Parts: sequence; structure tokens; C-alpha cells
Amino acid sequence: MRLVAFFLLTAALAAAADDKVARGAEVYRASCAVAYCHGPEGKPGRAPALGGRSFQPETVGRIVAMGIPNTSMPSFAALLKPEDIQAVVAYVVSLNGSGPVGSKPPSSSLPADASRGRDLFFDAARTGACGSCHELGGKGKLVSIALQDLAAAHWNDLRQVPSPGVLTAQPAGEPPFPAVVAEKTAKLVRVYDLSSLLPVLRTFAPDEVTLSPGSSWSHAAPAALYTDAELTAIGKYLSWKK
Amino acid sequence: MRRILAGLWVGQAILLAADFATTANWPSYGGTHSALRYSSLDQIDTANVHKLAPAWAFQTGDKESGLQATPIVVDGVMYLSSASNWVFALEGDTGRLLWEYRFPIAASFEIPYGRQSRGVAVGNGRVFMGTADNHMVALDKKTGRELWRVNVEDARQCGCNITGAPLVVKDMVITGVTGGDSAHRGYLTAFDARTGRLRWRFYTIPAPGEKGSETWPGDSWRFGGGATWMTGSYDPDLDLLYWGVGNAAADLNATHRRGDNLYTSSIVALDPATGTLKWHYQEVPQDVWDYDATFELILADLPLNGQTRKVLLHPTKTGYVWVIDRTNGRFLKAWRFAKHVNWVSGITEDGKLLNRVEPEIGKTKLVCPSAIGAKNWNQGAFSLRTGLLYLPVQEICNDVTAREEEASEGKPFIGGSWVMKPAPGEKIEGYIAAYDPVTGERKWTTPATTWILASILATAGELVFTGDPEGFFFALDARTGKRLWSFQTGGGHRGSSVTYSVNGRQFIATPTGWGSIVGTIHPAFWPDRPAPRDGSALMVFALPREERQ
Repeated sequence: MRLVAFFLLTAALAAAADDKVARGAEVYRASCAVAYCHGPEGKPGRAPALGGRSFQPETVGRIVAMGIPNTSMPSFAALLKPEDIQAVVAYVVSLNGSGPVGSKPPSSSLPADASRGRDLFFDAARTGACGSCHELGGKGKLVSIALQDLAAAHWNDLRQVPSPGVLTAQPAGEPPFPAVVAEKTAKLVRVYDLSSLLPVLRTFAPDEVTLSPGSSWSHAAPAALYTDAELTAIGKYLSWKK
Repeated sequence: MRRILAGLWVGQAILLAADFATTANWPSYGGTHSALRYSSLDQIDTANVHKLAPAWAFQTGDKESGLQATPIVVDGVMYLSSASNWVFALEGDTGRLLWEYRFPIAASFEIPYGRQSRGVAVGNGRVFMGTADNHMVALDKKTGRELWRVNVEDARQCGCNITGAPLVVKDMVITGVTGGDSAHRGYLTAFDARTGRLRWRFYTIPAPGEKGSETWPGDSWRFGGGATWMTGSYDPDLDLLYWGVGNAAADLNATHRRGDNLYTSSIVALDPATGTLKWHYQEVPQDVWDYDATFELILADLPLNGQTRKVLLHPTKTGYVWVIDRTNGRFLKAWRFAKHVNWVSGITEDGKLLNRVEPEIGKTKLVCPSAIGAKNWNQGAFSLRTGLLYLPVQEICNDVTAREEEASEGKPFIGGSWVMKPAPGEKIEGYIAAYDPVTGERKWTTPATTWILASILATAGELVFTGDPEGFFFALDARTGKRLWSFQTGGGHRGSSVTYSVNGRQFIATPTGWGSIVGTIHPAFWPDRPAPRDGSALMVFALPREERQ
């Protein structure tokens, strides 16, 4: 009899915990997953992914209630009922797993003089900024040479960087263009067209395009987006990265 | 030879000149470039719609985020994209798969604004799609082979991507971006349809020194939002490209952006050849409610004060439909389509907002409509047959609180919080309503069991089609709102239905399968209703062959 009562109590407690998590899921959907902040079911959104982590309820509870200063994570203390905060905490903890979902970029500190160079390298206000072709520190696009391999001598004059990898592509029925080969197989040829500010990855059948070595293209073309002083700052950033 | 090729290109471009109603094809996102979502097809009508039956179905096999796309139909072939940026070409009358393409997205990539695709654009012998990792890609229309792709901006840096369908104008493809709730500066980008080369970029926020930059103090212009996440319209006679520009960021706190914040929450009209601004109309200066103005821009010629005017109808999150002269951007009027609206007490005859209820730091205020909007991106339809505008409406308010927040490039930049709730003493509700587009008079209202997050389709058969979250796809009498036919498709409706004809047979096609972030809120609003079913299938209906004249 007592055993039965124990089972009933355990079942009731488990059901209550399930209810709390279920209610928490509702609160999460209405308050945390709006505006594409935290993704549904703890998946990556624009805010950190909450699934697969190893959160303590106290930590989640404090952050939900207090928010994180100077970020988009607000305080929900005045917005949600205390029982709903508890429910959403239970829900987030229920998403715990072995490790974080998705990777977090490592934080780094940069000397002040290189910092301006980095901003210019990835300048969103400049269509065709360095980052449109070069990847560095987990940002930008890898079209052209890995900058780690670039000889330090060239950091001082980014207009004169040699570009031996740039070829001339001649598609059938189209003017030729400066190109960097991305992939070449028996079935297809993929080249980046460098003739516009944003590199275009073109795909051809092998008989649709002829590639020949050399090109009239020069790194002075993209470098023209920047002033001398700006190029010097970018050079400082590249030196620091090395 | 080159000259002949060039001539062919121009020839194809001329064929793209748009009309108001669609006919056999459904050539563009909003139907035609006028975005009416209205078809002149009338084989299926109020008298025979009860006999409408499934013709074929297509399962995309894509298990992510439902199916939100508008299928495009050109010359009997349907082009459909699914949430993971897979593209399918299907025979319009049989559903036979002609080709399939899958855009590769790295599994580790964290998608900023959800994995969803609202459709492709077709033109110049190509099929174009924007991707979850912020590329524009062009495929060969006949084979599905990839021809080019270009990274619009590094998604890891900008916290933005492409979820909307592109628009083909002449020999260009034009796309917007998401990012309006991030520290980001929005823009539109035009690419050469054939080569993918950049034609122009129009930033929705002027840089220092440019006209309009005086509306952004300090550095606020860099991260001021102004996303362009839905699809614009185009008037070939005026040669103007229209696009809705989203909210300013931080969404709820304007402390660091005092000023009008041009061109956020505005309509911009551009010269499509150069991307030069021809006119703008800002609906919500200094938006502090996330009242994105990116939704459908319906081009219509309507009688106004005894004259036929070339107007643009713009239903937005605000609960108002703006009526703008599309030749010059002049405000003609704004009328209210939702019941619960308190963010302003009204809009004057010259477009001024009265008694704004603005979020404050440390204070919570109830504001209606919510940031979800009195309508969201799912589109309305304007019928040339009935002259009525049909909108999917929801009545939801939110408690908003502003807060200080530092902008960090590409990271969320919201400046406060909102909690969704009904209006005081009311329940959250959704409905489809028909309005006179000029007076705003409501002709009928058909309540939804919950809400309608699918677009509306209007046809010359005097029918209005849409679907609900519980899986019912249905037809209403366009004059009365009476439900004439419905079919349980098995998946929640979050996409946009279309109609087209092949060899004289009219088809109605609807995407099914629940998804999206707004969609995930559903069970919180209606805990007692069945949860919408996920999925990703297209259902296509037609009259049985013997029923056609």
C-alpha cells in the first residue's frame, strides 16, 4: 500500500516536473524565441544556442531574471510571473546535453593600432572590402590566398601584392575575365570572377571555358577602395595576425 | 555572334514587362511584379469549387522549418524552393520531378534568421535563390545546374541572410537581406542575371554626408537596421522599383538614434538601372516598435477623389494600410484594418502620427499591435474582380520595455523586450477580412480557428484561398467570406498558394508544413488546440477532368 502511494507520489512529481517543462516551453516560445533570438528547442539563433549545454538552474534563473547588461538579453523579472520564470528555467535546463550546440568564436584582444586596420579590413560600409575575398580569424570569405602565407614584405604596400594565381577565363560567347580557380574536375570548372567588387563563383562545363595563365588584373584594383593611411592600418593588422 | 547573343538577352528582358493579374503562369513572387496575388483564371469558381480535388502532391523531403515558399510557374513548369535551399522543377500538370538542386550549407553554420526560403525568382533563362548563408545563386532553368553564386555579405559578420524571394527586373536579379534586429545596416543588391556581377547596392541608411544622414546622430547609422527581408514590386511603365524597408535598430530603444532614421520603416522607389533613389515615403519616423515596413507593395490603379490614381497599397504590422501615389511617393491616406491599435491614436490627413505610445527604459507598456504585427509577412491579395483587398489579420498586443544596449556588429540589437499578450479583456484572435482598398470599409470577416499565417490568393472565379495552422486549406466566396470548400492537407499552412493553368486546366497549389519562429509561438497562444503539424509538401488541386467545360 505504502509502495503504491510512493509510486503515485513519484509519478505525480514527475508529471508536475513535465508540466513545468511543458509550460516552460510555452513561455520560451512566446518570450525567448521571438525575434529570432534563441532558436526553437534551444537551436542556434542569433543569440547563443541554449541546447546541449550544461547549465545550472541557478545560472539560468539569474540571467533570465536579471538579464545581461549591455546585450540584447533583457531582464524578465518584471515581465514574467515568477512561476513562469521557474518554468522557463526548467525548460532550458531540460535542453542540457554534452556540449554546446555550434561553436563560439574565440575572443581576442587586439593592439589599438591594428584594431582600426581590422575594422577597415571587414568594413561593412565598403562593398568589396578585403573580407570579400580574404578570410581571417573566422570572418570573411576565402577566395584568394591565405593571408598567413603572404610575405611580410608586402604588408607595407597592399597595392603591389603579386597575384600569380589569377588567370584569364574565356567563356564561350562572353568577354574574358580575371579568375581564380576554385575547383577543376573532369565534369566542371569553377572559377571566381574577380571583375566585380564581390567575387562571383562561376560554374562551367569544361568545354564552356578556356583558362590561360596570367591576367591584367592587379591587387591595386580592390586596394583602390582604401586611402594610403587606411592601407597602412590594414598592414598593421596583418602583421599582428601573423 | 556576340551581338546576336546580346540582342537575345534584351529580347528576353522585354518579355518580363509586368501586368496586374496573372494568367496561365505565376511568374513572380507576388504573382506579377504588381504583387496583387490575383489571377484572372476562372475555370474554378464559386459554383464548382466544391468539386475541387487533389491532382498531385510533392514531398520535398526537407525536414526543416516547414514550407514557406511561393511556387513560381512558367510555361507549365513549377519552380519550388524548400527551407534548406533545395530547389525543385516540377511538371505543373503531373508533378513529375524534372530536376533538383541542393545548395550546400555547412552543418556548423549558425543561421541568423532561421532556415527558411520564401521562394525563387525565374527569368533570363535562370532560376535565382537567396540562401540561408547569404548567397545569391543562379541555376540553369532547364537543367538545374548551378551557373553562379555570389556571397552578398559574410553572414558570420553581418548576422544577416536571405529568406525572401528575389525579384528579376530586366536583366538583373535583385535581393534584400534580413538583419533588422541585429547591429547591421541594410541594403538592396542588384546582380547581373547572366554573370552574377554586382550592378549596384543601395544602402537603406545613408552614410555620413549623404542626403538623409542628418537623421542619424553619431555612429548610429552603422548599425541602424533597415532590413529588406521581403520582396519588392516593379512598375514597368514608370520604370520604378519599389521596396519596403524594415524597422530601425535597436528595435525598441531610440536613445542613440534620435531623428527620423531614414530610410527605415519606409517605402523606397529606385531607378532599377542604377539603384538611385527616386523617392521615399517614411511611414514610421523613428520606429521604436519593430514595425517593419517590408511587406507586400501592391500596385493598383484606383479611383480616388474622382480620378484614377496609380497607387501602392501597403498593409503593415502597424494595423494600417498606407495608400501612396506610386508615381511620386505622396501620401494619399492611411486606414486602419486591425481592431486593437494603440501605438498611435490616429494618422492625420497628411500622414502625421498622433500621440505615439513609445517604449521607455525601465517601464513596461502595453502596445497594440505587437511586434508580430497585425499582419506579418504572409501576404494579402487584391482582386480586380471584386475590387477588394483581402488580409490575414491577427489581434495580438505586447508588453514592451526598452533598455540600454550596446551595438556589436552582427549581434542582436533589440534594445528591450516584449511579451506577447491579448488586448485587455480579449483573446488573441485571427481572421481573414475583406476591405475596400480606398475607404478601408470592412466588407466581411471570416474568423480563423486560431490565426492565419499563410498568404491569401484571390482569383477571377470570385474565390479567395488560404490555409490554417491546423492543416485545412480552404476557399471562401470572395464577395461574402462564406467557406465553400476545404481540404485537410495534413500539415500546417505557413506558405503562399498560387494558381496557374497547363493545357487549359486550372490548378491551385499550396505549400504545407508548419515552421518558422513566429510559428513556434503558436502552442503558447492556443495551448488547448492541436499543435500545427510540421512537414514540407506541396498539394495541388484541380477540378476532375469531366467537370471542366
